[in-house]
Amino acid sequence: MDAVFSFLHHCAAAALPAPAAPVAGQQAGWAFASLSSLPSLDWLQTALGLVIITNLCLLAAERRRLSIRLIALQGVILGLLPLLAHTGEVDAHLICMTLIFLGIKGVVLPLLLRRTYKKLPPQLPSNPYMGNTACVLAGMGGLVFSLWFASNLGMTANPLFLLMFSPAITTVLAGILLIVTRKKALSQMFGYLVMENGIYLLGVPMIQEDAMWVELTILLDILVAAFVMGIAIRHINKAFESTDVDRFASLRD
Amino acid sequence: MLIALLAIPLLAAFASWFIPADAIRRILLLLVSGAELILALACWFVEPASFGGDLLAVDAMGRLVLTVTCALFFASSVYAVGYLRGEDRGDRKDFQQGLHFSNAPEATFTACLLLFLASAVLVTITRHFGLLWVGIETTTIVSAPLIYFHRHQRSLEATWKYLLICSVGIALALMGNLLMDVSIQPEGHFAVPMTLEALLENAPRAHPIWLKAAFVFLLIGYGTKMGVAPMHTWLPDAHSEAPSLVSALLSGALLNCAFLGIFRSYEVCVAANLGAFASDLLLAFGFLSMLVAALFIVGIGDFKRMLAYSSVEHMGILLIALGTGLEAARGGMLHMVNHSLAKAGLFLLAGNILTRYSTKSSHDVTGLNRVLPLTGPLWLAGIIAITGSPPFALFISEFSILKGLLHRGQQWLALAYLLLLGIIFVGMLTPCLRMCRGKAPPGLVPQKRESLLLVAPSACLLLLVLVLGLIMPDFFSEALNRAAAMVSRP
Repeated sequence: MDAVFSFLHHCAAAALPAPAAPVAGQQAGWAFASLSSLPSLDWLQTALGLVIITNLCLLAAERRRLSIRLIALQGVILGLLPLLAHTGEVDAHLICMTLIFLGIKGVVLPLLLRRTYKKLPPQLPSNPYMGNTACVLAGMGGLVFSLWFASNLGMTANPLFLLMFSPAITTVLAGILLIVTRKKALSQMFGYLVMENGIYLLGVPMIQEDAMWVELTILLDILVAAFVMGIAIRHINKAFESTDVDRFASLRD
Repeated sequence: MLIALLAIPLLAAFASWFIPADAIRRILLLLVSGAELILALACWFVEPASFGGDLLAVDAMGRLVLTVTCALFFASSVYAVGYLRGEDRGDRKDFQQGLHFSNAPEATFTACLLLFLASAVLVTITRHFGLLWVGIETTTIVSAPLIYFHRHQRSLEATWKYLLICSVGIALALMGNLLMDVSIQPEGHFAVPMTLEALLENAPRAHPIWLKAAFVFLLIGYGTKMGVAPMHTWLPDAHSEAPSLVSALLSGALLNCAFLGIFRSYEVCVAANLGAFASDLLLAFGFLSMLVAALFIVGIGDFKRMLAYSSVEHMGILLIALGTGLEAARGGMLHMVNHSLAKAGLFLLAGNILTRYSTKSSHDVTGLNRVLPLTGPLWLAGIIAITGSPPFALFISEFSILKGLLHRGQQWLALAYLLLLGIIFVGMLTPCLRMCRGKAPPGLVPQKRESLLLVAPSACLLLLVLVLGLIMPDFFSEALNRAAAMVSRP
């Protein structure tokens, strides 16, 4: 874990410019000029490291119950990120928004997954298209790729974005891996939500008070999408007597 | 006016859940679609006041897509009245697999149709990238229950593929949005509103590598929803398994909404002097889509899947038009309008054929002109139109795009374009001619009269494609020019 933190820290330090003096008026609110002005940089890096570790655990997890718990843990960490990435005064608005993000990511979505899981009859875990060890290795490959990708894209005006970029891409890739390697429809839904978590991570540096409603709408849209997927999975189980997507074989050219 | 365009279908969708009588709900559907069409047409005469800056605002391209969407929805609503009469909730037998199934409740179906209209309208009347994404994602969510109207295994399979593939695609587009915002952020200011106006203003100072990455994600993301190859795999399944009126809306309205997402992204790239990079990508994906469509259309037995692959082809043509330059882009706008009209008309007719013959196989459908005396000739006319034959407007648009390619000095691409169009023309026309001619299958009595509700919408849509091919009104020509000019800055 320490290695991951130091790796992230090293990458951020290598990619970031020397700390610049904050621009007048920018210190307050969500904007800041350099990572050094972040009071909770260590916490932020720890949180990002934890996100990467939960990704790898999800790729290794066989049991869906464990996957739901890992997604809940990841959701809680992500929900706290707006607070950790904030530099100015902690006001009521920030706390309120953090609670909403935390509630949706860390509570509502996992509960939705749990409800869908509970409504399905007990099923033995099916062998994924790709073995768990290979999945974890591919996830680590994704981490290396994202670090290389970030180092090739160049500087951004907001240094926090570059810090978030690698963990975000790693999470998106882990989500895609889950979707393409799992046979169960519910596990594919996990992959979709993990992928969305990665994109949310990328959006954290850009969360601003005036654009917060857009973020919220996007989050609600994802919540509804997950809800619709949950219903579809229950119908799949009823029609095919399994949630194995291997059974989908009637629509071919 | 813009608020009304959004609010009317939204309120009607919620109301339709509480209306117990099917007949009243169908009247509501007709009234709402009629009102939306009138409002969309009014936008051509009265400049609608924007709301929240660029949050809700109509430009030349948005107005074009809005009008097509509302016109198609009105035609589909008229068809729906006739179609839903024959679709009760009782036990039904699937003609393909022989399994029993039931239909989804009509209230849910109508509500989802209206929510689909609201979300598609939102896509067309916003110039905010975040809201555009929300609108496109919402179209995915609310159209999934529409595809699963006939609750059997195949439609469920198609729905799951559609939900998952499109959701992943749209998620990638969201990532593209975020990258675009990052690329535009100037030093010391981290807040750039995601409105088109602000992005275009800041685009010349954009970080080129980040913007290139953003465009790739946006193209792949929205391209997935648009059915661009190789991300098109959901499209033939969803279009063939959905009720025909839903297929008409998916092909005619939904794909245009996704195209609008790519169009807006390309606008920003052009403003950032990255037009050449984006144009190459558009051409590559465009030709790949045409090639995939050509390979699958030849010899395909399922006539609904054939129409679906034809949509993949036409989406490819739209990307080629966008990436080729002003003249081709103008042809592309015309192509977008006419493809939507013709394809929606064809899908509605496919529904009539399917109901009468109980098969999707073009080999098993014969004597169509005798069995369905109105649907048959219209079907043939529609196929002639969609394959880009004169005198229909798709001939003019495809010809403009060819001219654009030649003017750009890309003779090889022009040749490939012509070759692929030729293959698809033969691939589509051969089975359709076979369907129309010959004797009716044994036991199938020719129908003397067909319900006007099931034929008139297609006839009107195809008539529009014919009229636009013969006469191009000045105001419409001007609208095409203005829309094309948005992506063809010097």
